[in-house]
Amino acid sequence: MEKKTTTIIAAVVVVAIVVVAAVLIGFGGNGGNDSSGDSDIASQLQIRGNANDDYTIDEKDMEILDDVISGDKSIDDYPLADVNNDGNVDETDKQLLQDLIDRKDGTTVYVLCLDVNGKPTTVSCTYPLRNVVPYGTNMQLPTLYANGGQYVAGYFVSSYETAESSISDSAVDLGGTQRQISDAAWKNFTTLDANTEGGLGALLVDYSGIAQITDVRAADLEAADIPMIIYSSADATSEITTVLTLGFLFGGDCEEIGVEYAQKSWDVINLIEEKVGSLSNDEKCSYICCTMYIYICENDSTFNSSASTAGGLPYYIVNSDFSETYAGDGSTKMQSVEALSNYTDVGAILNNRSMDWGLDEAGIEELVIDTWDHDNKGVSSTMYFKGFEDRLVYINNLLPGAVKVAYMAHAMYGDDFSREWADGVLQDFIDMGTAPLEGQTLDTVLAYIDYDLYREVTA
Amino acid sequence: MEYEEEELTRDGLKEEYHHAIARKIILLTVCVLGIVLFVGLLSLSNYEGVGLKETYEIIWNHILGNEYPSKSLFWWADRYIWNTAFPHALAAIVAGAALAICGTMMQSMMVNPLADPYSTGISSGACFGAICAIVVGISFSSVTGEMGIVTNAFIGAMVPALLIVFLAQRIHMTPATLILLGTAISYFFNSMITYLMVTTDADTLQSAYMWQVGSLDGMSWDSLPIMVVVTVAGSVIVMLLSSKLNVMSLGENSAISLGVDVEKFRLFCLVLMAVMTAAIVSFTGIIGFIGLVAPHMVRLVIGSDNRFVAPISMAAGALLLLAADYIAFQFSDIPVGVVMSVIGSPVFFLIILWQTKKAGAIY
Amino acid sequence: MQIRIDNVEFSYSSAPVLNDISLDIDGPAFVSILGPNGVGKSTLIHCINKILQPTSGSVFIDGKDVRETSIKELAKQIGYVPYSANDTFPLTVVDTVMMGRHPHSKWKSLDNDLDVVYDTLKMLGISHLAMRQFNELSAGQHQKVMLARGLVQEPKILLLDEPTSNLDIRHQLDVTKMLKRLSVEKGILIIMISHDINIAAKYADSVILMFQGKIFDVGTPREVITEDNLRTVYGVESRVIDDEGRPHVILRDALPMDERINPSAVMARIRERREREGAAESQPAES
Repeated sequence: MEKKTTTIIAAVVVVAIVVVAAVLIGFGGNGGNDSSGDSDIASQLQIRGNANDDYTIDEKDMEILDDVISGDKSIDDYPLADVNNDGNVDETDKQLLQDLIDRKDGTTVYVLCLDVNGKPTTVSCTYPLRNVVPYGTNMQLPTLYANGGQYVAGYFVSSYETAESSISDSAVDLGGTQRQISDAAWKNFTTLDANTEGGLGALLVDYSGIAQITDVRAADLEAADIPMIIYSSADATSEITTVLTLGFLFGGDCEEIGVEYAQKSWDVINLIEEKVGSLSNDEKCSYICCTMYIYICENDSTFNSSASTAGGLPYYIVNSDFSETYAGDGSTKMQSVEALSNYTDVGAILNNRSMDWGLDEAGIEELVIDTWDHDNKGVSSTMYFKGFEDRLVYINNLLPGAVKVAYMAHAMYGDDFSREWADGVLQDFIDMGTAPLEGQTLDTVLAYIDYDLYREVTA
Repeated sequence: MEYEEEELTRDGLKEEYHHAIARKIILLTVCVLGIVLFVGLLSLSNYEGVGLKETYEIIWNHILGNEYPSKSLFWWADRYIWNTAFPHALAAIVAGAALAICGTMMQSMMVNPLADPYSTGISSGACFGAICAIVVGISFSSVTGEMGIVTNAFIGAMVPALLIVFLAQRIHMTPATLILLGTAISYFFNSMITYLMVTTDADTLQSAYMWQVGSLDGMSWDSLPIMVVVTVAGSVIVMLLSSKLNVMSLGENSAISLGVDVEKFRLFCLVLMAVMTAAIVSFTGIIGFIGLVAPHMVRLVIGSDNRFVAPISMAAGALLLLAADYIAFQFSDIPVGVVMSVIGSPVFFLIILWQTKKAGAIY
Repeated sequence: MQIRIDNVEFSYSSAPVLNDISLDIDGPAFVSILGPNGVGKSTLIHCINKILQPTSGSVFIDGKDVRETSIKELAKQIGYVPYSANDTFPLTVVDTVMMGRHPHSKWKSLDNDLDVVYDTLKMLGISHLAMRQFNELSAGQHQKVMLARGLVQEPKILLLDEPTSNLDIRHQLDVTKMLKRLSVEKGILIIMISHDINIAAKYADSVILMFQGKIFDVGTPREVITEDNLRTVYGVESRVIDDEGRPHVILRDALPMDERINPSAVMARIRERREREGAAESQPAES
């Protein structure tokens, strides 16, 4: 009698352990990363074939194609059902879509991006994307966040050694600068194309640097069949789409990371929306964004759209003088240390600075002081922000968009979004395995500087 | 004293005269060869394995219509040479030639070895027009964007010239008056330019300033046609007028007595020169010293006969600018206007010093 | 041919230079214009060939007002030899003289022009200088080149502004003699401004004496070059004698320029000396 009972108890225990383990693994692992995850990924994969405008290409898209072909759905409602960009949806589109669903090597992919004038267009390239050259920080970093560093054949400029360390060791330094691609750099680019087996896969361009792609250079790209993919990814939500799309194009683990990145980012954004999205304008925290130490971001700047995503209210809505003075989509230097003196009712000042990581404690302290107390041609930043110290924060512009948004939310709604929560978001991205943050910890990355930190460091 | 020297026969004179002409043609040939050399040098790309010889090969092949395999190194080098280096070199040739012949004309017309195309305020006018477009966005015509800056500069350059022509109907113009008026106009435009530059932000200021400093960057096949047409037409006219220019350099009284209506001719030359200079300067900014120095260099070798100095100074000016461009190319990112000034200033200096040796003449 | 100058006046802003000049000059002839510095000689001839425009009055050449003649047309008729040459951009002698062919030049005339130039250079005795640079010549050679330039213009009227002032005595005589001969052989009306009264007296057909912006006297050398005229116009005491039918001036003394010296005392001394020497009666001066 006892033997049978023991066996039964053992079996029950084993089952219990297995069940508990499964539950623990299910919840403890990639918190909420199954298709029935916490929030929808609101980014649309910018690839033709993504007929249902979600974040991936799968059988659901094939269903829509069938519907459009049979006439149940209209191509006008599902423009991405035209997979090969020929104007209609037919068998050829279905064949191409099947190849995409199968993630077949060598498939021609039609990517939605911008043209040189900033208008939407479609560019074709080969899947999976290899031997790319990025230009512009706002394109280079998303490439790396999608773990695409391994596929970078050459780069024009790399200003952040640690953050951009995932650029392949064999990648060629083409000798450009942040603001310019010189003739010599372009020659290096074309030489790279000549020396690369099969030629370069694509030139990835950040739209803010498009002026460097002159007519002559654009003609070069066309003649040599090098696709040019242009995105404007400075704003947080655009960045997510870019990482997602690039991840898909690179294929393999990059696609996975791209999806994970998007998922996590939207989790954060939706959480913020839930908590503060429904606040009225009077209840919201107003903000002024700054960049390059003492430049004020204009009304339509991409920094502002990120801060609004974080739940803030742009200050120009509150103050019509400010709105008039700072019209535009770039940034304006503060004319004097009194520039902010009329705006004492602003809720937060969000100053954006790109800061490399991989720092030790001394490095962090130094960076904090150099940022807070920056020497602007003899005048310290503290003079410009006198009276606003308790509302001023610096946020690291190199971080993933959602992380920046999280810190902005913390800065504006400290009660709803604690520092620990924001740090947790950063930690999640580190844990995700995205290449630029590899090996980093909360102590080696200077993500956020506020007055408390500054006083602590200078005490 | 005279009878001790060898007698010159009538035929002997003709022979010597034709020999002198031959010498001038040799100088011209040398200049042209130099130009060909520098075009090759400038087209020299950083592409490995493409040296001077290969560069000429590539150019020759391109002219013949031969093509290299797509996306190969030579294919890229060919594209670079034809789309970037060649128009750039051609622009240097055209600009150098135009500025030099304008300088020749100016110096003969004013009988002043220190005159150059900018003496009448054209450069300040052009800068003012361009900077208006860059800083304030004001366009004097309906053209906007890049070409807007060019048209603005052109219109701005013509203003001093037309102003002087207008005043010439009312007051008696001597060369000195012309230059003084030009200087006064320069001062005025310069003050406006300074005002605009001082009240704008750093980035725009840099664009505006960089425009002023002469540079051949960004010369493409599009900007060439106007420059080429104006230069060719203008220089043909100047060469047709070269014997009149010779007469002008004899002095005002002698010129009148030899049948040249000095005042009218001077105004005509002024307008012609303004158009040519404006056409160049609107695209390149202010490249100085070529108009001043190239004619002198040529005169040192072949004398002051404008029938030869005019065409040969074109070749010399082109060569000079190509050489300066090549030097600028080696120190990447230095605009050619700067290099030209660095070369031109000591040469100018020497010219002034030589001039004081004897009263009047330098040669 | 005839030059008629009709009530011509000229002034630079407020300072008048020529006052109401009326004159007829008939050619061919060799005419000399004499007078002290600043009296308006250069200005007068500049008014003839349109280098200057008279402030009032007209100049007629063969009945045609010069204002109605273009500068180019005028250059075919009137040659001009300036006092000095501009050598900022010097040419060879041949090229400089070739400039004189400019009013007549056509495209293919190079060799023909060269012949004319050569002949003129030979006539002036400077053919060996042909290929030399203009600014390497002496002042005398300069003047001969200027002269050659004026001559190759093959003009009907030739205006010369002190063309022999830098030449030595041999060449002064030779050039003036040559000019006289040319006026006869080629039928040119030659008008020459000169400071050398004697050489002008020796060769000129008629003399125009100017004083204080006006025509003081016109006529044959014998008529115009008198002791009284010289005293009034030049302010010198002289003795005029006859040499081969032409007057010759022997200079005696100058009226002092030093304003402190009493002129009447000087005049008295001069009168005494003249009486002492028993000088011949001076010819009655024309008013």
